[in-house]
Amino acid sequence: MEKAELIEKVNSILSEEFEVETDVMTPDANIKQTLQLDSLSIVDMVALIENEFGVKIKPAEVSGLTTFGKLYDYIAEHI
Amino acid sequence: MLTNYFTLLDQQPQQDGSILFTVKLNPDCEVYEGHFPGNPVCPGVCNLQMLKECIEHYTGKTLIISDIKQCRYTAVISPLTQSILNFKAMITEAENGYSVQGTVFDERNIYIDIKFQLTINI
Amino acid sequence: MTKSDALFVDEGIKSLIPQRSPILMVDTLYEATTDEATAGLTVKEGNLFCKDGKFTEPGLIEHIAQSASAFAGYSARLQGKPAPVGYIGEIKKFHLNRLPDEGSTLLTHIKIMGVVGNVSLLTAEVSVDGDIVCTTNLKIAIEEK
Repeated sequence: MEKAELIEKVNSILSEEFEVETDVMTPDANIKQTLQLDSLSIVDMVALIENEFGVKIKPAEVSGLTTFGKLYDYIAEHI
Repeated sequence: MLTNYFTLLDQQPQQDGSILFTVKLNPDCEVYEGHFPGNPVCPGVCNLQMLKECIEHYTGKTLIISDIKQCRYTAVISPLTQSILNFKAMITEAENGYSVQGTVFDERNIYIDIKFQLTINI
Repeated sequence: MTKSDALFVDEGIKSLIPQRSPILMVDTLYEATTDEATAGLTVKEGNLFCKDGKFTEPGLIEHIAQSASAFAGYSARLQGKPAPVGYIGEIKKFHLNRLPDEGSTLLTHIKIMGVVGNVSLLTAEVSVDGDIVCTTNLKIAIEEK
């Protein structure tokens, strides 16, 4: 999968789940703030990514994925 | 079904069109014998039933919860420490029933955020 | 699925979960893998969540939560750990098709969709005699010691 295609797909599924427009999901934007994630809803994101891309984000690595850019890279590396 | 879980003390229409219910939890309800032995904590589902019964009381209809878009339990409730709770609900008529968006809170905390659909039971 | 082949039944379930009568809402753990499990409950007369001969919505959701709790307790036991105490953190996308009759035997399939920290997201489907009665996503928060 091309990176641009991956980014588009990630943004689209996150937009649908968290009811946030895709144009605010820039590579440098903070994921938690943008999607208004808390300790309960972050697992929704992890499950979505796993379900859609087959990429299992390790619990210890979730907190390091602060920005959308880091999330795209993580998925691209593990896909 | 539990009949002594709570008492509805008051229901007041608010300026924004919502209804503010005030309920009192009963720490002597038998459900606490099992949830949990020696450590009474409100079962989340009993609070869900309580919210439904508040809406039933207000609408005068027997209702079934057909869909829950989202129900977040943001803090644990114990009948020993949180005996009086407020439930602010925006109730709108929908197909075959009501669509409700509400929050359960007291002066210290928000406990439940909910969006759900209730269907009139015929 | 028969009770005779199940992993845990009736009294044995109590070793997996902290809930007790009158709010014990799971009586069988049929099978479990690392991320999926099947559990069940026969709704006896006088069940706390029965009304007018039907097993109601809060009962269904509590049954799902306790099925997940029994699954978590079973997984913990395999690792030699005590059964964790879990609370419902969130109910999402619950949809009810119909309320089961009192006396029905519920068969519930649970799948863990993700785990972050002390929160697990699972999806569940409850059926009676092969008919799906309700589906939901549930988040369970494990009590932090």
